[in-house]
Amino acid sequence: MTAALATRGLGKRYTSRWALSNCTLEVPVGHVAGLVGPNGAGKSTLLQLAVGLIEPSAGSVAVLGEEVAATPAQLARVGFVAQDTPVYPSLSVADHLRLGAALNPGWDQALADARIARLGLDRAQRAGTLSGGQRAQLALTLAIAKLPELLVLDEPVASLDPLARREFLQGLMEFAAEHTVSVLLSSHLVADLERVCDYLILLAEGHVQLSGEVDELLTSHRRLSGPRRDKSRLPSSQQVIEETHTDRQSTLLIRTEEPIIDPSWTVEEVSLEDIVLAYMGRPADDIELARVGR
Amino acid sequence: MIEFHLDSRSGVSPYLQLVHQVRHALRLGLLREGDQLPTVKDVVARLAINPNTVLKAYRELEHTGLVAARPGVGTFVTGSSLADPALAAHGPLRRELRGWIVKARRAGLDEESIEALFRDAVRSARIEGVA
Amino acid sequence: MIWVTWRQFRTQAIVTLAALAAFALLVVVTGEHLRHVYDMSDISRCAAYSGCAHSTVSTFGAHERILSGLLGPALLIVPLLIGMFWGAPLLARELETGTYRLVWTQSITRTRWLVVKIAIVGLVALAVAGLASWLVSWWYAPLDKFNMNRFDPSVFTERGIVAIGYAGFAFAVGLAAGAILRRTLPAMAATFVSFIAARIIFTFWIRPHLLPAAHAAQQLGAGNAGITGTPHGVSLFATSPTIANAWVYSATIVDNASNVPSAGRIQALLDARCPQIASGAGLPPGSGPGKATATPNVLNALFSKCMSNLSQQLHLLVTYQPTSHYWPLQALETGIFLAAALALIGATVWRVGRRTARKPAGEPREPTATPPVLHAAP
Repeated sequence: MTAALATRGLGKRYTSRWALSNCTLEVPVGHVAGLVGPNGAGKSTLLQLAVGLIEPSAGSVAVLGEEVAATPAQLARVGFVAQDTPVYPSLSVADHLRLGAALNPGWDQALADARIARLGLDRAQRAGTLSGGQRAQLALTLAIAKLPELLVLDEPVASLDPLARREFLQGLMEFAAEHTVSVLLSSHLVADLERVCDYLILLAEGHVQLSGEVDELLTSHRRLSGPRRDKSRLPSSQQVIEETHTDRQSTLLIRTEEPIIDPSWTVEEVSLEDIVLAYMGRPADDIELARVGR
Repeated sequence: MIEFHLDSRSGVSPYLQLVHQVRHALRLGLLREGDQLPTVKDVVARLAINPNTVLKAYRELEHTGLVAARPGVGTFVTGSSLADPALAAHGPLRRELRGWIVKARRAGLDEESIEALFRDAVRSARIEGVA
Repeated sequence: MIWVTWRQFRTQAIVTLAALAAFALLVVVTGEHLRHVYDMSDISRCAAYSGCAHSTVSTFGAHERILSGLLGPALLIVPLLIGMFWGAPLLARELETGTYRLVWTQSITRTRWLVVKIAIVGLVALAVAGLASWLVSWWYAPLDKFNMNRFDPSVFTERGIVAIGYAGFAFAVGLAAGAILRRTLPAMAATFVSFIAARIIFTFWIRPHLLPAAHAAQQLGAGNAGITGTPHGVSLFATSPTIANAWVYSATIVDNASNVPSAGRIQALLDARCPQIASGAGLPPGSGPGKATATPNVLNALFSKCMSNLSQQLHLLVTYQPTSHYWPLQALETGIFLAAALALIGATVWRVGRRTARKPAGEPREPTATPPVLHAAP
C-alpha cells in the first residue's frame, strides 16, 4: 500500500550543519502520526521537506507515492499548517477563504463556511487581529477545506493556551473522523500527541530514533525492576532500551514480544512519554536496533 | 444519549475507558435497548481523540454483543443484557471472595489496603500476559 | 491567482491611482495655463533661443518656474518608488513574514504564483511610468521648444519613454533584491542603491556609446572659441557650441588635416595672424600673457577679425549626437533597461521555482544545541 510519507536516506544540510540526516521512514496511510522530538531535532525540517518548501540535500522523499510538490495536482493532495500559523495580516477571514477557493481546485466552500460559522469567527475581521487560537483555526480551515489526502501540521498547538489547544485538536479529529485522510503532526510534547496519534515517530538530533504504531509500542515495552543484575543475563528476545542501577536494584526499560516469565521482576507498563524519553537518550549507533512496527 | 469522558491519568487505555463507560451505563440502565451511541464524529469532536480509538471501542462492544452497527445509520444498543454467560460463576466467586476478605481483615488490612491489593493483583495478572 | 494578486496589491494600486489622478490634474491645469502664457508672449515667436529679447524668467510666473524645476525630477522618482515599494516587498514580504509557507502549499506551483504576480504588478508599473512620463513631456513641450535642450542628460531622462524602461528595471531589481535578501527593508535599501548606481553608470559610460556620434566642422567664432593667456603667451581654446536639440560631446580645435595643433603651433599662428591679440593688446586689464583669462567677447571686432584670419588654417571639430538620434536613443535606452529587467526577472523566477535551498529568513528558532555532526552516507 502507498505510504503517506516515504523517505529514504533523507538529509538536509544548512551550511555546515545537518539538520536531518539518514532519515528513512514509511508512515502508513490512514493514521494520525505524531512526530515528536526535542527542539532542534529536525521535525520542522522533515515536515517542510514533505510539503516541498525546502529541497533535500541528500536522499529522497515521496508523499502518497508521488514526488513532492511536483505538480499542482500533487500540491492539492497535501494540506499544510505551518508553525506559528502564518496568515496575511491585512486580509480578512473571508479573504483568506477566497484565497483558498481561488488557489485550490478541490475547495469545499460549504465545509469552510460551516467551520468558520461554528467557530464564531467574524468573516470581516482582519487576520492580523485574530488571537493565536483563532489564527490556528483559520489556518486549519484553509488546510482542511481543500480536502487533502494528507494533512501535515508543524507544531500547530505549541503556542496555544490549553483551551485553544483542545479546540484545535477537536476540529482536527472531527475532520479525520469524517474524511479519509492521513495526518502527520509534530510536537515537542508527547502529552499533546498521546490522545490523537496512533502512529509515532521519534526524531532526535536529526535522526529517526523510533517509529511504529502506538498500540504496538505500548504493548511491547515494559519496565522491569528487581534485584540488581547485569543486562547480559536477560534472554535475547528482551532488548534493553534504558537501564539504571543502584547497588541493590536494577530498573530496565525493555522491548520484547514475549511474555516475561522471570518472577523476580516486577513488571509495569510504560507510558508513551517514558518510552519516548528512553529512546531519546540513546546514542546514535543504537538507532538501527530501534526499529519497531516493521 | 451517553456522554463520554476520558481520564488521561488513569493508566487505562482510552478505548477501554470508552468500553467501560458504555458497560457501566448499561448496568445502571442509562442506556437501554435501541438507544444510539454517539457517532464517532461527535465523540471525537468532544474528546479530541483518535477516531480509530472510538472505532476500536465500538468494535469491541459489538464483539461482545452489546451493540450493533447499522451501516449508514449508527451504532445501537442491542437487546442482550450485560449479564454475560459468566453470570453463573458469580455466586461461587462471590462466596470465595468473602472468605478471602475475612482473612485479609484478620491479617490487619483495612478496606483501602484490601482494595489496593486486589486492584494491583488484577493489573499484574493482565500485564504479565504480554502480547 | 489573479484575484489573489489584486487583493494583495489593492491598497498600493488605489494609493497610486489617487496620486496619479492628482498629479494629472495638476499637470493639465498648470500646463494649459503655461501654454496660454506662452502663446500670448513674444517668446513663441523667437526664431532661435539665443538672441531672443525675452527670456523665460520674465515671461513665466513663479509657479511655473517652481513647477518646471519639480515636475521633471518628480518623474525620476517614480521608477525608484516602484522599485522600492512594489518590487522589493513582493517576495521579501512573503519570505520575511512566513506567509510563503501558507501560499506555496496551496495547489499552485511557485513559478506560476510568481509569474502572475510579476506580470500584473509589472505591467501596471510600466503603465504608471508611461502615463506619468507622457504627462510630464506634454507639460514641458512649450519650454522645450524654447530651450531646445531635450538632449541634455537631465532633460533626456525626464521626457519621452525612458522612464518606462527605468520603472521596469527598478521593479526587477527590487524583486531580485527581495529574493536574495529575504527582508523588506534591506531589499528596499539595496534597490535604492543598485538602481541609482545603474542609472549613473548607464548615463556616463553607456549612453554616449549607444549610437556613433556625428562630426561637424564649424568655423571658429565668438560662439565656440576664445583666447586665453598662458605662462608663455596667449592660446586658443574651444567652448562647446550649443547645437539646438543636440547632444554635444566635445569640440576640438583642429587644422585642415584634422590634427590637433600643438600649443607652439597655435602660438605661432596667433603671432602671425592676430598680432595685436598675441601681444596682449585687446585683452582686458588684469589678463594677458602669463595670466589665464577667457575673453571671447571682448573687443568683438578685433576678435572676429582674428578668427576669420585663422579660419584658413584652423576650424572646430564638433563631436555630437544629432537631433535625429533622439528617438532612436530613447528607444535603445528603454529597450536595454527593459531587457535587463526581463533577465533579472527570469533569473529570479528560475531561482525561486527551484525550491530555495537555503533556510528562509524567519524560520522559527530551533535552538542549535551543539549536536554531534552526523553526516548522511551519500
